[in-house]
Amino acid sequence: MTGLFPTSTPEWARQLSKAVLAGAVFGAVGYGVGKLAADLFPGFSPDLSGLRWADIVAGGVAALLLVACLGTAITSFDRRALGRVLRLEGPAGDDEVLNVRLQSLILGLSGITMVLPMILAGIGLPVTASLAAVGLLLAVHTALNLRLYRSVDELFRRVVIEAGALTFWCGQGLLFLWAAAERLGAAPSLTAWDIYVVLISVYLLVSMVVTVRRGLA
Amino acid sequence: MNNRLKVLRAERNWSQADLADALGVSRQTVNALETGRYDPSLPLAFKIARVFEQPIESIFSE
Repeated sequence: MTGLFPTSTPEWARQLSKAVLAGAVFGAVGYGVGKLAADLFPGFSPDLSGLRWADIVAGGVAALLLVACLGTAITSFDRRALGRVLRLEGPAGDDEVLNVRLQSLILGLSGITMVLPMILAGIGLPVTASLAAVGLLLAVHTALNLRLYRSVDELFRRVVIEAGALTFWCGQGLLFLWAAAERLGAAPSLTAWDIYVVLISVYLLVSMVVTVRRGLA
Repeated sequence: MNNRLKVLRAERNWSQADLADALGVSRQTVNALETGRYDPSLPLAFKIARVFEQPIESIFSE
């Protein structure tokens, strides 16, 4: 047995175990920070009664993306550690560092995208200004995604395409089941926000699986 | 699909970076190819064959 896992442990099981462990640690830290903040600022209690299930899921996904953004960004400053994460022989080079930082930035913007509509709705900004902010964020996010896609090689592009195809396959199945149940009067109607949040959550999950399977993480 | 990339690279004493440069791909892609996690596109397979000066079928096998 070497390290945390027996050598016979499959790679996916190692990755999953690490993710669960990291989730537990970050969850405990987050609870502690939240508890401390509540004790320090007893008067500050935001009204969360208007939150729906999709808002909570969006918040969770955003938190995951922002943690991933932070983790990736920090790792990019240690070339040896980055080399190990990317499974390279030796430390990461300039191009690899730049590429990872761009991915980190995109992850962060993805996280902000998930919560920005809720924040804008919460602070009561005029609808036109809110839509302009959402549009601007989407434009920047899309431009960075395109830049990344153009700068990478066929393996990374294959991962993007496979993740997109799998997400469509899973998403259309889920959407069909829900739509059928809704049509039969057995399920409540969904909003565009609900569908978007589920779609992005599925995409995130599928991307992680494809990325690990193809040896990119 | 199996391949002999790692052996061929070792025979030439090339690093992952050397092969990645010759193929115009990232070191991650070289690693994914060598560990069998990724099968190359046909153009990349031809490029690999040219770089190692061997026919494709002597590098890749089912």
